[in-house]
Amino acid sequence: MMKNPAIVRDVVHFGGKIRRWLRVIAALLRKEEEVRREAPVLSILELIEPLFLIASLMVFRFTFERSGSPMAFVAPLGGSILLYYATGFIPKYFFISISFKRISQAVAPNRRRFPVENRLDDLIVHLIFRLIDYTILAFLVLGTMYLCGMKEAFPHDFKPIVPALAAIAALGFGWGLLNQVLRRAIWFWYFVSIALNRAMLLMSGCLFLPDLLSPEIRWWISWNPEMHAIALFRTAFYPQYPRLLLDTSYMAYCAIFALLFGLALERVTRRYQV
Amino acid sequence: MIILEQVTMNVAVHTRGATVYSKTRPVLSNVSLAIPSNRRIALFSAFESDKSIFNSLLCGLTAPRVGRVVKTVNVSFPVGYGGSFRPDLPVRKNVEHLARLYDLDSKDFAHFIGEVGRFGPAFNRPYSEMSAITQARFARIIGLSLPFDVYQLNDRCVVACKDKRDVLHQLFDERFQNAGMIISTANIKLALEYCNMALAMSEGELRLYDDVQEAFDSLRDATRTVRRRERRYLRRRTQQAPT
Repeated sequence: MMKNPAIVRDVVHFGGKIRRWLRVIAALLRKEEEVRREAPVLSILELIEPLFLIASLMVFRFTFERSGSPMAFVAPLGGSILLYYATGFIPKYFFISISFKRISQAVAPNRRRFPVENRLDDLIVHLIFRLIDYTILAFLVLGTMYLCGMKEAFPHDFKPIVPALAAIAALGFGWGLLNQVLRRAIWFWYFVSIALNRAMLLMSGCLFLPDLLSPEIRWWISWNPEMHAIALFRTAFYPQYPRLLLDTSYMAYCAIFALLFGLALERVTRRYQV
Repeated sequence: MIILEQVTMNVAVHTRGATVYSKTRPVLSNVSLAIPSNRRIALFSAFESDKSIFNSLLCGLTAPRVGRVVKTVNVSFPVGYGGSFRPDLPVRKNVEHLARLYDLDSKDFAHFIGEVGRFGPAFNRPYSEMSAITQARFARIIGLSLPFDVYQLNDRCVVACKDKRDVLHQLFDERFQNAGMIISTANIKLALEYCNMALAMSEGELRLYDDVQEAFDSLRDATRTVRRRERRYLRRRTQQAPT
């Protein structure tokens, strides 16, 4: 039997690694763009869900109003309930699309990829494309409202939009990865995650103004960091938005924790093929 | 040089057709070994799955459970591996994507593959429209066309490259002269013909041999036991099958 030769350490410069990583990300972005160009309908269909939800809520509202029902909805803030729903559901669906829809495909253990590609690269590409999708959706929806004469649809302050979307992206990334890991470990977690998702839709303040609820409910809802991110997003459109519950530092801590936790989980589970 | 540093890798055990994740069998247990990159090495193992796991470990498709694999050379993915080819994208686009991943000129590389492989109009049609045989040939041509220091092949691929009329033979011949190879096989004749060293995997151990025949002989008993166990299992399944 042959003797083992002396061990030689692998020397790859940090700059070279970064260059290679950027090259892979650029190649994956280009491929995703080409896939979308080949089948544009699929990417449009994914954006229809939030639009459909907003439209169906508006239909309900008009039906109740016409029947003179006391259940007729009024806008919790501002003159337009459509704008209130749009500013709530667009960031909410951005969170859902990051954390639930494609993330399972990106981290699936049987996903085939070339050795230079990485699971994290897939996740980053997924995140970038969702951000582009929802920015376009927001421009289309809010732009159409503005053109229809709703002056409130144009943000009076653009500054809160960026941290709100960044916080939602970080929260979605961490929450989505945690769900994937728990789904592999606990067989019923799939059903629990769906129920939690529905509960979070109600608890994130898309349909109502959290500050106007009773103190007990307000205390429970204030633990949801997503609610703070949506509230911050709305402050860009409503100068008079109440800031009693809004805690940006809590939101930032949760977002940083979710991002670090998600990255750590991705790193740890890489060896276990979750 | 490819260096395995205290590498441990387990695989889930298949019992009666079902995968039992709680029970594992070691593929490599605490293995430290340096594999030369400029030689043609045969890889023997009693289990076929162990060989493919080892190939994935070397190229970086799988991370070891414990330890690490250090490489000073570029190791190819197993030649014939389809990777992340998108079935809905045209073949040309898939080739261009691969070229971008490996820092090659995408247009030139796609042109080269189209010319060399003689895929004709199928090259501009979706990958899913290719027949399975053409897909396999395409994946082999791609694997051998990309520049690596060490190529990982299996015996079926080597046999496919023997046809002197096919371009695969020329590509293989060129790589055979200038690059290292790891050929996973159970065929001793093929190993003796192409390889000048051998790796033998058995019960979590990995040994490097200078003599190919010696490596094959060291695994003969283990291979026989596994084959006997497989035959017994198949016989039992045939008896249990409803008539």
